[in-house]
Amino acid sequence: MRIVDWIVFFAFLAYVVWDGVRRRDSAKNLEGYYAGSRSIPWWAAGLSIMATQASAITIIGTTGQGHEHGMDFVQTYFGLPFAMVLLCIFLVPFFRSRAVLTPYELLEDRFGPATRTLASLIFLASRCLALGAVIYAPAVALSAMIGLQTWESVVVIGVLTTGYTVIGGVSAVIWTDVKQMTVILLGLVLVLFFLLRDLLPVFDFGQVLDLAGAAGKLNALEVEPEHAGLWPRTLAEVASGTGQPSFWEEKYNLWAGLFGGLFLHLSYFGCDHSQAQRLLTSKDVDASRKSLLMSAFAKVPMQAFVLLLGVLMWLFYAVHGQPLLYKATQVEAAASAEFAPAVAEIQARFDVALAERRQNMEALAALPGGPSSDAAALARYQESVRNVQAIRKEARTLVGGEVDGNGVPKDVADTNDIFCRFILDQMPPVLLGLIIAAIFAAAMSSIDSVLNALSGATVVDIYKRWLRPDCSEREALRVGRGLTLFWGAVATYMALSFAGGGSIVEQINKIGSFFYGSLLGIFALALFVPRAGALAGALGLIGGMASVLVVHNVYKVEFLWYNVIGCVGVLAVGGAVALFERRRA
Amino acid sequence: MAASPPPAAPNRPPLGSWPRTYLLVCVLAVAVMAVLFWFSSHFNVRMPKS
Repeated sequence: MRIVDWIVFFAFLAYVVWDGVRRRDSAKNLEGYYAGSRSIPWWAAGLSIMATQASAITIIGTTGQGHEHGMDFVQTYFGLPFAMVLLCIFLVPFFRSRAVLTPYELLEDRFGPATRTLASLIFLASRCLALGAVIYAPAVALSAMIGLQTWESVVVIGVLTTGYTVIGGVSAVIWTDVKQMTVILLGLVLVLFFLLRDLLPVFDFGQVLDLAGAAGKLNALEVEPEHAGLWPRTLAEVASGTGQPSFWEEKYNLWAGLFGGLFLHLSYFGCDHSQAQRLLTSKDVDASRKSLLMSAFAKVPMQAFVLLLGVLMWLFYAVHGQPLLYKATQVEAAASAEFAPAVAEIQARFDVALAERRQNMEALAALPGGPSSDAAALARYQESVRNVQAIRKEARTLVGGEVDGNGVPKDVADTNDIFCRFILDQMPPVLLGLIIAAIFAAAMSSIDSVLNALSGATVVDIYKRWLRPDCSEREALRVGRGLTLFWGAVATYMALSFAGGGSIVEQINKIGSFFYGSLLGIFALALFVPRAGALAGALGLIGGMASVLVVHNVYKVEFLWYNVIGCVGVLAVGGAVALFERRRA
Repeated sequence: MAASPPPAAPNRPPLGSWPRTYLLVCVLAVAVMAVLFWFSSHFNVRMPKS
């Protein structure tokens, strides 16, 4: 990085920290610290909801996902607009029915203190586990870009974000999120500009789409599932190679996105306090609804745009020469005496494969009737695309340094390193600093929200509820600030111990999916099963978690469906217990 | 006599009513999916399994 990039980067960081710290006056009591005194404008709360979800993962992980696997990931978000509408109709009025600081408080009214505490603990556990990955992603990026160790980057991000969140509370979180979201969008548009600047002199836009599509990268909507079987395979069948793959094993298709995604987003935006907290900060029900609907309008197009950036990045490298390895540690290992001879041989084959792919690409682009007009040319192109992928995988497996349970070297994916490599190599001065700032903005905007929410749930649902019910407002606020600091330290520690292989964006969704369905189920039980009481609530919540655990350990089912299983598990167990429970007064 | 502050603007639903707003969200969501479906079926070719 050049000096001007450093100046831009540090100027942005300093501005964000200052902007957060100056909100301290609005955090004089618990209402101010955790609910922004219910005076946050709806559009600011809406941008904050988007910024919290659009973490560094959106920039780094999703572009990498687009580069490696195409646009199929966008289908995960198809259920989101419908989820937002359902939340606006059912959950927002419930949350705003009285002035609560966490949604779990409302569960006590229906099911008693045990269920409230259990739900709050589930939130604390799930968010705490995922937070490590949220910090880890930008830390890896920073390490690759400016030569810090990953742990040093983790500490920088953790300390800065914790600092302004401790002081400014949720107002600091929301108003810094507004600025961070602006920088994120600006950064993404700049990357699009530079990709098109380098691609369009070589191919026109129609050819760009044809070539990406012919490589299977524009798979934005898959109606027909690859596997039609509805009975899931057991893990034992998978291990022994028997049984047929089922519909439930497919991660990304229209149906998984619509139904699994619906439940994921109902749970995430409605029952995860790091998001639901925004719904408590606006002045009334209507303002909360408006803030939610911002994401309903914007999220799917935005996600498609970010994935398309990744696809264009893949094409950029296909045209201008692709590195064999993207991950800095793998590049370093490849140059070592241990691997250099083997890597040199792989590199020679890779160079031939790249040249073949380029040649087949040009032949395909020259077809006047498009790629499908010459089946043989299309097959040659697809074969050469697959060949390049296979050689990259071979190199990653060789130098990755990780083995599976049987001691066989395994592929260490570099999905999260592709974007970083691109901007380091291609961005001009000043803009490089701005885009690295955007990655940081994305990370900080997600972490700050979660820290404030974790602290809020701990103070309101644990400390004030069980440990010190009579504590003064002043004491609770002091403890709240201390707990924000504590959770910041825990998050930093989790990030330091995070083993981040694969796609980070998937890791986050997977962790959440273990818990979210059950949280959604308990709120659904509260709203739609009037006769369910304390025992039904507690056993239902435990039943939902157990259902996910059993399915995870017995069947091969993709993580999106865990949200459905958890929710249905709570409703089934809770509903059944409610039948035998004495009717509520 | 000091002038009283103006009353806060009420938060009206974006299209005059919430059901109409929800309908718009759902219609737009389906429209975006339809565009993506056209995009995929027009440009994308599934890679054969190796």
